Amino acid sequence: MSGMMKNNGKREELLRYAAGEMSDKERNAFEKELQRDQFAADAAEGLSLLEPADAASDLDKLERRIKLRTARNNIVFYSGVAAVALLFIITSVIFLRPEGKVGPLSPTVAEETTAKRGDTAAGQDKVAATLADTALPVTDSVMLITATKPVATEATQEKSEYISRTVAPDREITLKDTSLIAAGAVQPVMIDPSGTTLQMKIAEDERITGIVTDETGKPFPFVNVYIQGQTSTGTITGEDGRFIIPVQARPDTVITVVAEFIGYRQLLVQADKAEMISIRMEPDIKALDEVVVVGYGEQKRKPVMATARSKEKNLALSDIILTGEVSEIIPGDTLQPPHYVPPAPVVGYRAFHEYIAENIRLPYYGQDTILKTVEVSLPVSHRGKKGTPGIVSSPGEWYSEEAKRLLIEGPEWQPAQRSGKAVIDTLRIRIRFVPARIP
Amino acid sequence: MPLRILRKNNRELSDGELLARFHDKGDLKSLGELYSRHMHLVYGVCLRYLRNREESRDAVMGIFEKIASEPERHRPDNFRAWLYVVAKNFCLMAIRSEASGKAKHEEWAAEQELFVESEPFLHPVDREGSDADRALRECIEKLSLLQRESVELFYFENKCYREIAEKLGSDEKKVKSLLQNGKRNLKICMEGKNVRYDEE
Repeated sequence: MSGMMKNNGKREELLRYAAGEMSDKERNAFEKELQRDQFAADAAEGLSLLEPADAASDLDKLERRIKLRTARNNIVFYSGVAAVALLFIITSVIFLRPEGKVGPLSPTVAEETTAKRGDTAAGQDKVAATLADTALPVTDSVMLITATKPVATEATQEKSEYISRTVAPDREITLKDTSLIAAGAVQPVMIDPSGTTLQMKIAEDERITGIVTDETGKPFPFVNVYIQGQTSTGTITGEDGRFIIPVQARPDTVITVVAEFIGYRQLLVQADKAEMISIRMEPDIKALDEVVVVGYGEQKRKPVMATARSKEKNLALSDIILTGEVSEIIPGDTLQPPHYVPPAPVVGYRAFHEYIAENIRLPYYGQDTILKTVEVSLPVSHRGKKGTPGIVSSPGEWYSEEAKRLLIEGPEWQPAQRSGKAVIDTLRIRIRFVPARIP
Repeated sequence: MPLRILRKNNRELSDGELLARFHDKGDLKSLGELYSRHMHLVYGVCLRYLRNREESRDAVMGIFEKIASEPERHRPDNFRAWLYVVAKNFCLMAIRSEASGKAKHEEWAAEQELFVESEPFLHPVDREGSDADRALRECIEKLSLLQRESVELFYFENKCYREIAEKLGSDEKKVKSLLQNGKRNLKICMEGKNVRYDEE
């Protein structure tokens, strides 16, 4: 691989390329370099997903962060390592506090903490102060590794922001060798670049199971169930109303499960991993006239909208629920929440619905009388380019393929907007395969 | 092959020198400077894999922490190449550890499949000033139509991905994969002809 590329000049070139500012001749010359340099090729692909101005300002911002980071920690070489470990502990504390879980301080770990405090006091006054302020349930910290990510992204305090920048790698370090760290060996732990050892550790295979019923007590399929604060950790109930959510958290963390279905009130339930939880949904009267209500399971519960659209020639009715995935806002980045507009089909949602309704196909086999839902993720670049659809959940291969086909062949998209600027975003689209009434 | 001019600048230290400063004296600032040099690449890679601006920015900082925290373990000869591997693995790990990452992971895995070869290599065609010699020519003739078109347009007519995509009625991603697969076939063909290019 060519490692000789000069980078200072390359940065501007790369940005110009990503911004599409080069002439075709220049592009070709640059692309030939990219062919020899996978690093730059990947980077070019990534950067071209952003608005050119955003890319440049992000890089400036990052450069400032690095400057800040290195200026702060230049005193003791190893303090960087220890600081990361410390910050990680603090993050855990912050994570824990709202839950009100302050465990007893085990003697070994207490000693360890004191030692670390001493080591880093010189370079880390601020951090040490924070540490002193907090009643430390250190015993909990090591276990909570996987929780640091969500904390980092959702944190709103200044302290947490700093942590969010620095704590990430430690998550892995600690993961690999929790016992070592707990026992007091705060040495940098080498991470196997292949990452295989780590992956196994991450998969702790904890899960929350439960059943969702409707107001009459019947199993409620297709309900959106997820962990509060982590919309991405979730699933949809099966035909029997049951769900399983894999979670990564220590056994006695309080986890709140959110159950949602259009036309029903959103429910929050505290989950206990040991027990199956049961959730009973209640209709939300107010919501009924403003949303599309979809039938589920039985034929008589006909979808309101779909009935109106139902043309006899259609084999299938469909309904689409679109949710833009709004990524969390990192504090310090934007002071007020940016105005977010999710991506929209160029032809408009109405036409998009019609397109789906007209083109959707049901499997030929059997008399499939049960509604099926496929949830697809669709990245839309800031230029409105569709990415490859990914399957989030699906009842089967056939449905997955059909849903993907519909999106790939479907209309183009208007990019999402944040504060008036087009940005890349990933849509979640639920496509429902509704069996047609047999004439 | 053209002369490779080693970067020697009086004002600026080389990557290796900066890295040595960090390793030997624990000078974090040197590492920061070194990292900043390559940060646009790291950020781009993060964006490519994570497809999220905020996550990518966090990852850039995370990767820095990672390399800062393992000073004794790695003394890469080629910092830039090493950094690429570290950055990529970091992102993949982030994707894996995230529950929602599943979809993303599948997405890029599927994308990866487009490219038969995932690791690039210095290909005969990529050598600067390569006169397409006869063997190469013959091999190009043997490529599939689309691959041949792409390779020829790109290397001989100096067309950019965008132009080629337009010409072939395809998209840039497809063009890239045509080129990569074309190059792979060329390499196999050339090896069959026992045409050797020295490494470096």
